Amino acid sequence: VRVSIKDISIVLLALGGLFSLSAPAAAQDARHHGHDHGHEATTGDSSQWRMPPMDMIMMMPGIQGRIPNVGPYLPGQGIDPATIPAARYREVMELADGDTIDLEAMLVRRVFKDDEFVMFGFNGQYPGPLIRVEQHSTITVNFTNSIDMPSTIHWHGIRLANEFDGVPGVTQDAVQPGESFVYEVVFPDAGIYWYHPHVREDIQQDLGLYGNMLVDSPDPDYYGPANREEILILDDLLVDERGLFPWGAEHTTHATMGRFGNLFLVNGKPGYSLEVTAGEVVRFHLTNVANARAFNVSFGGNPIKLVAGDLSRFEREEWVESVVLAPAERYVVDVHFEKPGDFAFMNRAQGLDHMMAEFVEAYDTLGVVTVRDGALEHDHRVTFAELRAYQEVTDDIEGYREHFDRLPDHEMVLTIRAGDLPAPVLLMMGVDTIYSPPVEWTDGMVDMNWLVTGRDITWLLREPATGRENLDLAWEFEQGDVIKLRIVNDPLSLHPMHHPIHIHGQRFLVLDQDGRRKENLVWQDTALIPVGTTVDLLVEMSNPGDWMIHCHTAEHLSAGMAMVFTVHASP
Amino acid sequence: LASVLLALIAGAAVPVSASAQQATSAGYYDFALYPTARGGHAAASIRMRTAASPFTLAVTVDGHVIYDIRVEAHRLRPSPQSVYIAWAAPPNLDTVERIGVLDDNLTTTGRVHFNKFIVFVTESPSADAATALGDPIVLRGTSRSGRMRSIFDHSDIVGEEP
Repeated sequence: VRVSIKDISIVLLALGGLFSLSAPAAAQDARHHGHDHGHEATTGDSSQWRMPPMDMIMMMPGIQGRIPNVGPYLPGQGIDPATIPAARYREVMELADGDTIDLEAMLVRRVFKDDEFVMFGFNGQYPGPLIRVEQHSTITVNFTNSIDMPSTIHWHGIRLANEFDGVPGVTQDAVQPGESFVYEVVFPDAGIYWYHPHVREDIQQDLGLYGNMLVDSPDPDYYGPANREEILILDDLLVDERGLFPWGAEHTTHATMGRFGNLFLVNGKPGYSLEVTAGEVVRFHLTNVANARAFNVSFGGNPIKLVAGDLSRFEREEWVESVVLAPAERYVVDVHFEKPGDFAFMNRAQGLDHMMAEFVEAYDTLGVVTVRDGALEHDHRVTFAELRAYQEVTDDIEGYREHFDRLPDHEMVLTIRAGDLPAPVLLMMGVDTIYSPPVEWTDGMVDMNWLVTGRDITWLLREPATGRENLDLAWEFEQGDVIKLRIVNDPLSLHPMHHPIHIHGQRFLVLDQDGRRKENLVWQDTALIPVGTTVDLLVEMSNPGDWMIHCHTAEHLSAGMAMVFTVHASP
Repeated sequence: LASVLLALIAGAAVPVSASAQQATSAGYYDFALYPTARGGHAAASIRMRTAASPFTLAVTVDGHVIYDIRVEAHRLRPSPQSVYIAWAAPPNLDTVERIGVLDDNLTTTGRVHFNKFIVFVTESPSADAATALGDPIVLRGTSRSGRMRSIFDHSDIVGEEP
């Protein structure tokens, strides 16, 4: 048994902290005695915290009555919901090269079951409009911010000009409420992409500010034949009997595990449904926009063919039983529905209840695909049964193989630094060190997670060679450089978590995982790094400018897990 | 909570933080097997790596992580009349899956996809043995996930492998 001085000091700190708990709920009531805490407000009450919905998770001793050290935020406070436009389902904007569109971030009214919520939406829609363009086209977007906090639009995965990347403080100033910004968006790569704010993503994205961009290749044979396409955005939303559960106003709450929702949404609404004819091959373009939840989705046992990832097709199509999507990742899959019946579109995961140290089956039905008998106009079962190899992808990657076996140019460790955590939380984290799963599929410590804010902890991208962290890192490259970046997700940190790491403005290959070469490569902009995993990325620095690398768990980003690197333009 | 505090005050190891400068992800899910009386001075190490996948995590359709597992035993007595076979099972033992027969180097590889599980090695009369039932166990150990205890139970904290 080893107990270091540091350990002892932390234990003493924790013990002392038990007797100096910060504001309990009772004190909060006293501070807000003038407010009406009734149940009638469809927008909720931004002055008052309430305990998060716990489902089956037991509350931790010592946590009861405690609240986060930030105020609660709910949208539309002080505004009569009746004056807010009802949201409508997304429209498809089929755009030509040179077109100009308007996107407005605004308040909308949403109805889930019988409950009406005030949320955000682009152009009054949920999700935001589906922008469909031809590869290599350019569009202009006039963005207007009509919500009550600064915002921007980030064009996730799009290798566009740096000044339009939408990162406040790096590529532009945040767009203040009532102000506008003009983006010029070029689409160099075919595939499925998405747009979202890059200011307080934990709030703005969660409230509905997201939309897809589907970029069509001029090659009609880019993908195999399919009977139809479905563009699906996967999300979750945290609600309780009083409506939307409040977000942290000054800093994010749920800073340890991220904010998991308990209402599953597909394209912004619960209960996805699709009717197809028996024999159809359906192409699903999947995007995970959840703040924190990784999905593991399947289609009722129907065969799934994995075709493409973030920025390209795979070198070869392959069969998979399910599709794993971390936040911000996209995949394109073809699914063959051969026989009639109802097939559940499900998310299946093994959650971990950290209190009881037990795994919990987290099986949730996201929707139903109903397959009916009928005549098919085109029967694609023969081509579906074949796995296509995409020689263009392999040829493209071939030019980078000379870099595959080089030593890493940079290394970063994913870890965490705690500040003044509440004593019971510090104790729990200190004791709960035996095991961390590769991916936390669910919120396994609900109250503790909620209680920890961006004021309490800092998530870190740390360079071991220099000890520099996050925005103190200043990597510089020349346009055309190809670099190997090694990422180590520290399993021995205070709170190991998986991290979906996103690199702006460039594309990369996940080359090696734990020393093993990946056999079927695909260009990506986001990669899930499980706990205890070392991943080597080969990054093509093709796009000049100042770009961000960050974790796409929204709460981890809000808690500091980001850095900026520079690609200098070649002369 | 009192039990937590007592455990801490009693001097149990509390590795509250780790130096990220020294961080390495290798081997976090590895674990050891320990001998039964029949196993004498034998030992084994279990190396766990997530299986190859087009994603960065291999899981079953039900979300169980799929691991490639490598069993490396040491000091097992040579036994001309029998072979050593490695098995994996969840803690309730309701399913026992065969990992493989240990080769001349006392090594075998296979796959597991249980949340919590044990690995054990039997001394079996034939390499064709389809069940572990009845054959003597010489080594056994618990996965890292299987060593988790609830927040109210810290009775067996005895140290932590880095």
